[in-house]
Amino acid sequence: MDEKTLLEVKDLSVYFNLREGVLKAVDGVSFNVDRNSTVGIVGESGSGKSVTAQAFMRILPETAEIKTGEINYYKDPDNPIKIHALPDRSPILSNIRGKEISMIFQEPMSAFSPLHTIGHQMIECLMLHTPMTKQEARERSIEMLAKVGISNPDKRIDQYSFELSGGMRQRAMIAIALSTNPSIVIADEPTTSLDVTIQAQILKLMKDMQEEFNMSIIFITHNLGVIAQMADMIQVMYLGKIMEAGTAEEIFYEPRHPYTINLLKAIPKIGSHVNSRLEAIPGQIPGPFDVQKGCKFCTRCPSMIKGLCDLRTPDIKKYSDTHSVYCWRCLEQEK
Amino acid sequence: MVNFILKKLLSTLITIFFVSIVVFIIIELPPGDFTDSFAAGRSDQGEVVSKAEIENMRALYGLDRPVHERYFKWIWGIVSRGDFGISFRYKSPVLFVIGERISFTTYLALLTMLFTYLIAIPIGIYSAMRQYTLGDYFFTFAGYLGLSIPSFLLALLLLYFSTKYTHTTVGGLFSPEFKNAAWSMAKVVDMLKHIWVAAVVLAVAGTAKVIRTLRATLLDEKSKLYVTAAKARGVSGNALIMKYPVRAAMNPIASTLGWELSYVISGSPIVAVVLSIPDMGPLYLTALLSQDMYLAGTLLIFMSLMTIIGTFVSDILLAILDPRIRLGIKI
Repeated sequence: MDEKTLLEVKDLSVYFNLREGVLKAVDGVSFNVDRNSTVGIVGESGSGKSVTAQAFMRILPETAEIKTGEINYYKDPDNPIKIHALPDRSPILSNIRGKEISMIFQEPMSAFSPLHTIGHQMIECLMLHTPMTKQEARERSIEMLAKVGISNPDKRIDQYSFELSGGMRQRAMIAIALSTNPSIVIADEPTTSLDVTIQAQILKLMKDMQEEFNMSIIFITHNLGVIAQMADMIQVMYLGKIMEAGTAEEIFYEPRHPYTINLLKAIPKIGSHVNSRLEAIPGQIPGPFDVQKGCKFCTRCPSMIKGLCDLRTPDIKKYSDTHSVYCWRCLEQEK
Repeated sequence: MVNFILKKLLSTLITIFFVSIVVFIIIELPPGDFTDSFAAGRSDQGEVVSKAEIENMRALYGLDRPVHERYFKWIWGIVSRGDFGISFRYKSPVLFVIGERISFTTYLALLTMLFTYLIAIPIGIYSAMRQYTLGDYFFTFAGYLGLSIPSFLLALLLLYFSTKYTHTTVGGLFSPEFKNAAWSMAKVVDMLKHIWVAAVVLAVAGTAKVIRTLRATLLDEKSKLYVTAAKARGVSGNALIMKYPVRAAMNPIASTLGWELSYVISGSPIVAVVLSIPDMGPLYLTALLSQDMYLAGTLLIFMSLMTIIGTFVSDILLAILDPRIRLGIKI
């Protein structure tokens, strides 16, 4: 453990106990989040990326439980907080939520209560986590709204989320997440529901804010174009497992895992032949209850090794200190 | 908000106007009028009522005038002097006949509503928060039981057990010593001692409905993203539940308040008869039977009025609870 590490995720598994059976949404995931860095988690829908982030804040749905693993928070390196082990009603946990780690949700429309004003929800959060009076909290909220580029913040603060435009709502969401000066901000697909121009503005805003507030960002998205702009480190997830991890350069310029390679091929490129088709990854994502032995990607993998990939979970193959891949083919090639 | 209330008030007044027309038409609908049923009653007793006598009576009561003329005369009396006409049967002003009975009905209705919500809201919240626990199942069972037992039966049971075990009767509205006493604090207390039985009996049925509605809405609301988002901001425990999902789940409760009130009022006569509470129920029945039209009309208008007021109150409550309704946002 080196002192750069702020959040350590070790062998994390989150299972959903559903009527249909046990759904392994996150299955043995490990990675670190460094101070003032951005970690991107990429994956298709259902890859478990959002659930992973929810586990960090312990806001999983009632049917889910952290089955194994650790989430250690090193705000104070000598005195780490074991987030996974905190009881549900622990005051330490309430303090982590919103104060230490905060979250920007995908749909700001449904993430704001329609019955309370934006300001009410901001002030509530500030008063919970800081010694501010109501008046101070209100001033701070207006200041934050102005900072994220909302015009007339002293008027907007008394409005309801449904009175703002989509982009404004997401800005307000960011303002509320940053108002307590958290160490980690989890952004769960923060730009997915916005149009492309607004998307670019929001991403720029988040980068500016990161510089100003010195925080780490965990950026969850299925959009590889977005992650390329944002992340220092990238974790590629598929069906609850990490397939490949590396710096943005390593993932985009030297992808090793067949899943990553195929994912990158599926991005449309400017300048490519007009009539050329996008390459989709063949096959279907297996159903959530289909238990797949071995590598989870083997059912769709073009370079699957029969008798190995479909039987045994692949070991780790390290290409550099930062670049690691879980793939039998990569391990075989070395021999 | 002021605009909203004025708008609702205006539509409420218009509704009351139309209701009064419909009420008048309804009490005019049965063939014949009070004089006919009066004559029929007399001849049943062997007396002969002459045609001239009936015509006289008709003219006296203004029953020979055209319908619209009588309607406007009646309405004008109400609006200008608060005069609801006279009861033919009791030969005195309608208001005098109805008098206390209307206030008893109102007390009973309000008390019933109070009991309904006092019992149902905490249970509804409990059931949703502890879904599928023993407590939830117990209250679900008890709620359905309350819903399916006819209220008059429950009233009879309560009467029976209170007489058998406490040797006091809960029927009636006052203890004998207060029956003819002047109004005093002690008399009010005595009345409350008696009226609560009827209120509880009436509330039991309504409670189940409110519990189920609240439980279902709350279960729906508590898994919504804005609740998770509030949790992610560090709001926890009861503050989280009460402030976000419970607040949202109050919407359907507030919006059905008007119906609940009319349900209580239409459900009360039979319970009132069983518990011998002198409210409007029995009076209403005889007024309809003898075509005592102004009395029946007034009672009918009063009942509709309670429903309309209930709806008005729930509109206002909804606007207070939900800014989307207050601001007239269409979603």
